[in-house]
Amino acid sequence: MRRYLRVLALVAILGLVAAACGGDDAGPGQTGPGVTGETGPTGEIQPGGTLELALLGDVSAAFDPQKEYYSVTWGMYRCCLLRTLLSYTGKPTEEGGSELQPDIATALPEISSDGLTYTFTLKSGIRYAPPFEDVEVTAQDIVRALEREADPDASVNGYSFYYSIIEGFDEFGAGEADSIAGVSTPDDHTLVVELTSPSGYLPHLFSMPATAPIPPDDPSERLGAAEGHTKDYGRFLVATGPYMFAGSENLDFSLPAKDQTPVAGYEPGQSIQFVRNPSYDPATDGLRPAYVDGMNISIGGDNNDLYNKVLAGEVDLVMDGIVPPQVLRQYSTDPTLQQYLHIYFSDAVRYLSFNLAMPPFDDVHVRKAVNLALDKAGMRTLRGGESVGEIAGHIMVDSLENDLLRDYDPYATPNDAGDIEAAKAEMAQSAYDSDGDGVCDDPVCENVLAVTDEADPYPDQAALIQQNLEPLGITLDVKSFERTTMYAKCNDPGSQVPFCLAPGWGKDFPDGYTFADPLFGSAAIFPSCCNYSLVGASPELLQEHGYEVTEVPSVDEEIAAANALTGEARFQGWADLDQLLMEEVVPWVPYLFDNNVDVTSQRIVNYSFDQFAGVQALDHFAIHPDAQ
Amino acid sequence: MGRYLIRRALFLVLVLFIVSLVTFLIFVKLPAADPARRAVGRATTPENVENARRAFGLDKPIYVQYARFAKGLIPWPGLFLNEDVYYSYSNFVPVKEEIFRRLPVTVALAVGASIIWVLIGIPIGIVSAVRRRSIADRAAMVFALFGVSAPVFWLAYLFLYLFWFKLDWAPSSGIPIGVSVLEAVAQGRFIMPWLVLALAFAAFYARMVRGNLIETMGEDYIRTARAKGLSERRVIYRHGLRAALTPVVTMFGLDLAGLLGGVFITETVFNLPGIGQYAVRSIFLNDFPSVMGVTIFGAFFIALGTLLVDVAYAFLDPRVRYT
Amino acid sequence: MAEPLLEVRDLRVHFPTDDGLVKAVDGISFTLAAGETLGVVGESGSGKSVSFLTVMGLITKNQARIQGEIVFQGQDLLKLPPEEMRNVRGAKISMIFQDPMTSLHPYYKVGTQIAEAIRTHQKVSKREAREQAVEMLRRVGIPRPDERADQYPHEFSGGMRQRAMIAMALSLNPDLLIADEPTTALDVTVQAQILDLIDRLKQEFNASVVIITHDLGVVAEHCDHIQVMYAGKIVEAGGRRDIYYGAHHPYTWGLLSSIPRLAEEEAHERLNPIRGLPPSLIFVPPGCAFHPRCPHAFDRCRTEVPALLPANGHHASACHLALEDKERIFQETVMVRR
Repeated sequence: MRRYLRVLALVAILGLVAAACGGDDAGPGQTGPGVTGETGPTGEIQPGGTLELALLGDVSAAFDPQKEYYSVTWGMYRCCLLRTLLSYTGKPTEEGGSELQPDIATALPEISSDGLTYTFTLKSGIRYAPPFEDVEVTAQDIVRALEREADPDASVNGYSFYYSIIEGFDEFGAGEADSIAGVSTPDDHTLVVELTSPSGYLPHLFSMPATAPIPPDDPSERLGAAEGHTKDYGRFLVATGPYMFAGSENLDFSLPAKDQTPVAGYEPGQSIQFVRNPSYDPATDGLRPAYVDGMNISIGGDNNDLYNKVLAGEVDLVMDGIVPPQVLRQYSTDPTLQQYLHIYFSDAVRYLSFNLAMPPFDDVHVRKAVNLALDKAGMRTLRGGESVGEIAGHIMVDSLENDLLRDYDPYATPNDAGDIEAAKAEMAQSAYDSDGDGVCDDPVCENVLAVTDEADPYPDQAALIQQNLEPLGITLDVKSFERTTMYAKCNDPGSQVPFCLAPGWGKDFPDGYTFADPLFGSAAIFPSCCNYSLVGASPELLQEHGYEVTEVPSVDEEIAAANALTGEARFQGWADLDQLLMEEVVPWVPYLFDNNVDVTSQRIVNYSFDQFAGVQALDHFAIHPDAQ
Repeated sequence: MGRYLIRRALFLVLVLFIVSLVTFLIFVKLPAADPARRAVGRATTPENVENARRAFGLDKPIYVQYARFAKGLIPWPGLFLNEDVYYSYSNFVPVKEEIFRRLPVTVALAVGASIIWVLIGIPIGIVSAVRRRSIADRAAMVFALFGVSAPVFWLAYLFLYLFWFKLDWAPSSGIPIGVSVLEAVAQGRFIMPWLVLALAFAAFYARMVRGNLIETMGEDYIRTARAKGLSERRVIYRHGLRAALTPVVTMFGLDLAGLLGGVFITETVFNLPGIGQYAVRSIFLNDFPSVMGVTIFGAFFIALGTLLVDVAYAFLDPRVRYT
Repeated sequence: MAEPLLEVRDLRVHFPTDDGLVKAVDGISFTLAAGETLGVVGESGSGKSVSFLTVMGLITKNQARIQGEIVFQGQDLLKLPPEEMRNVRGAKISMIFQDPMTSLHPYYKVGTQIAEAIRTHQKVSKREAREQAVEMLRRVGIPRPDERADQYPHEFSGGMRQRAMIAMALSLNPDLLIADEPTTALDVTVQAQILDLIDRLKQEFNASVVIITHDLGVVAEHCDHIQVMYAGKIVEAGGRRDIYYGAHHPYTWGLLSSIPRLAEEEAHERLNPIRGLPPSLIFVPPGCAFHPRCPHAFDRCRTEVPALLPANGHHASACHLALEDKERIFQETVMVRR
């Protein structure tokens, strides 16, 4: 009797669940338009309304601009909170979103003929948000931000290393000087920056949030409003953009820093609230439409549940979510929903990395053969299908080269599925294939150590790679690790890892330098980061780590040369480097340029993608008039 | 009793030290990612990593690091979870601030659920025990089996999907911006979380009460009570239940104390900003100060709860006396 | 003779179980006069406790199949509705049990438990009930009863607890007190005290008493009549002298022989148990239930159930042996040892 009842109950519950899961997929009563069957967002864009957004994970450093190195926070700075000397339009590359634009500056900087001196002129009349609504932004405020950036405690977790090219920056940071020698302010609206060597990416440095102006407070406080807030300035952030944190007007900087109450509009781990900045003057801008009146961002939650809320119209966008497959399917196939699906390049590349000093990958023909053998389409399918990205034929993401190499794929294969015959033909030219039959017969091709990430889908991808390489006579010994550990092993030449299967790389700002130097410059080899291939390693370094190979190719000269260029020539310089790497150095097998996939609720009638930060451009979002 | 309490209080502090030491060793010894490296992310220049190390105090010898954390164990204002050390690596917010800001949500969730599970579980257990082998008893035990077996996260998803997304009977997950905890409770946002959380406990308590009561009703003093001519009702409630519920009271105290340390799964699925959600996030981000802070906090409540429950037991069972 | 206080006629109590029908009590009949002390003797499983639990109404139709009649003061208790039976239980007939430690509720004060019994059957205030409880404790010989009433059972010694139970049982002046193994859990010295106490209180309260025990030694001094039960039936019944000085049933002889002797000469003798084990109450042996263990069994014993037949006056036994044989064997096996 007891058993019978248990089975009955189980069947009843299963039936209930099945009934709930089946049936139509539409969410419950939505208030937005489009539900009644109208197609497309008609009607003009009308300012107003409040965005309801969801963020799965909190920002990485409580909005401290010198510490935040997270794309989602950068997106919020650019769109909404902080203006910088230069900025971007908040659009994708094809609409000019990767090109620097003047923001606080009146124009792009003047560059001296030797490329060592940059001069910026600031606009007048830009003022801070309350409680500094009477204070105008001056050049000294930018210097203040740079000084804070130089302080290792204030910029921990950040990217202060980029600013080392400014003369005197490191000395100030080390406490050896009482100001940054290479930075000067002849007057309130002029900033002069001197470099240690010509670096064409300098303008980009002033588009990053670390250089957003910090208002002065008490004359005795060198860091102004940020004085005393080494750990937590983000919770007292003074905005310059079209929006500010709700409750900013209640910040009281007259109190000692320890006694001040953090801004109410940011509750760590819980919520973020933006309201319009009353001091913001659109006439001084031109980059940010700022249609909506406010943004409510709730932090935390479950990915699937949040996308259900998007479908139900309760949430307009999940800022850092991953669209679940069934939701993606719905948006792709339903004609009324397709306009709310937004796919753009996120400017990240996924690749396999060779250690140029480890056999069999010390032979360029082997490396080329692997490039030809890999089933890149299959790798993409394992990551989730076509919508996750485009097959990569070269190393640098296209926005860094202004699309110059958009169709360039020196190792293209039919359907991107790999071409084993072409691969064998290449392998036959290798010294490790003594009989030239396209199959490696040297023992170094057996059980080649390959390191990968233990999380999905990397193990499945590793299996595919093994399958692809077998016909070439290369067998792999795959070991998987937790992500940070994996990167540490790939980065450490002492580990002698020949093949790294799971790395990815995204740009920091839209300039090829952010790929070229950290990935292929000799200074980026251990103990520094990210040149796993050991391109440009010196013979001494190779010997020190016990390698038998004594020489590897270097591209340091080419990087320096391209870095010195500016304007259109710079794009071409990076494109040339990319080609050189792909055809002669062959340090990688790049296989995917990632997409950023967003779905918005049907309230959102205007969407844009900020190519700079690689996330949605909230300043362009507009809500349908009926839903405001 | 006084000496006993002092002994127990000292023991509580000892427990906190042991728990913190074990937690610390786990983080130090297990081959998880280096927190400085992890916090710094991709910009792993040696200087960056060194900076992060220094900022987090990781450059000091291990015993010094532990000593810094241990100072934050002493349950004294100003020392307990002090901000110098208990500062989150991953979002730069003091651990103490986060815990106390999130405490009301966890309290609302735990207390509400506990009321429900007591109101459901105990009566079901009583009916089951008194009417053994009847339909009511069997139905109750099926309910108990389901409640104990159904994983909380599955149930939570099921409820959200069914009662909010499909039927629109219940409000959605999370607490909207600007809504206080009390308002959220009034809006019914805690009803599904309470039910999901209470179900497993209710089932467990029903079984426990049933078992205890059946056992108690077989005791000799029940026979005596009947022999005195007492009504069956009085026999069950004044004699049987009084003995059967005593262990349940202690169990309840411990369960509630444990929940106050964070209701991990329910808070995460329903996006309620409580201590459990904070703990889960801290663990995934390998954020040692937060994990340590939450663990200490939870351990404190559990140790305190154990103490209170033991003292309460002395009042409930006259045979127990502490010196 | 005056009307008996209690008359049981052909009582059967059968428990249906998964293994079969347990015939705990299988046709017993006896009477108890007012003012009498009856000793009911038998091993575990003889049905002695079950029969009186049924008299008390603590075993009901819900648990067992009950047949027969239990006539108490002219009323058949088996036909009473439960509410009325509850009025009888505790007030007219009360029962004390073997282990007073577990028979008293550990969480309530002793005085409270006694007062509860009083207030169940009498409309008195709490204070009055407590006063009565204290008085009862005094009457059963507990010193400082006022303090003791506020103590918990675990603060009493074994003997005092049993006194408290007796106090509770007698607090409503019942006409019949049933004592189920009242001394088994107590020290030997305390045993005697309790039995004397029961005797004295029986006089004071003018009640009848049933003492259920497995120990023939206990009933020797305190009982007027003795009933020996085996496998759910009464196998012998008679007056005290009848049993001790002229028992007529082999089982009784076995019980008498197995009483240990403390006298010097016999101190080193081996104990004399009855060989074999008590029978299953589901598969009771055919004929005389005792026959497998009886050294004197013969053919008829195996097939025919012996009836409880009086030999003279009040002395009856259920055995097929001829009366002369019974007397002879008694002399040879039991008296010889005394």
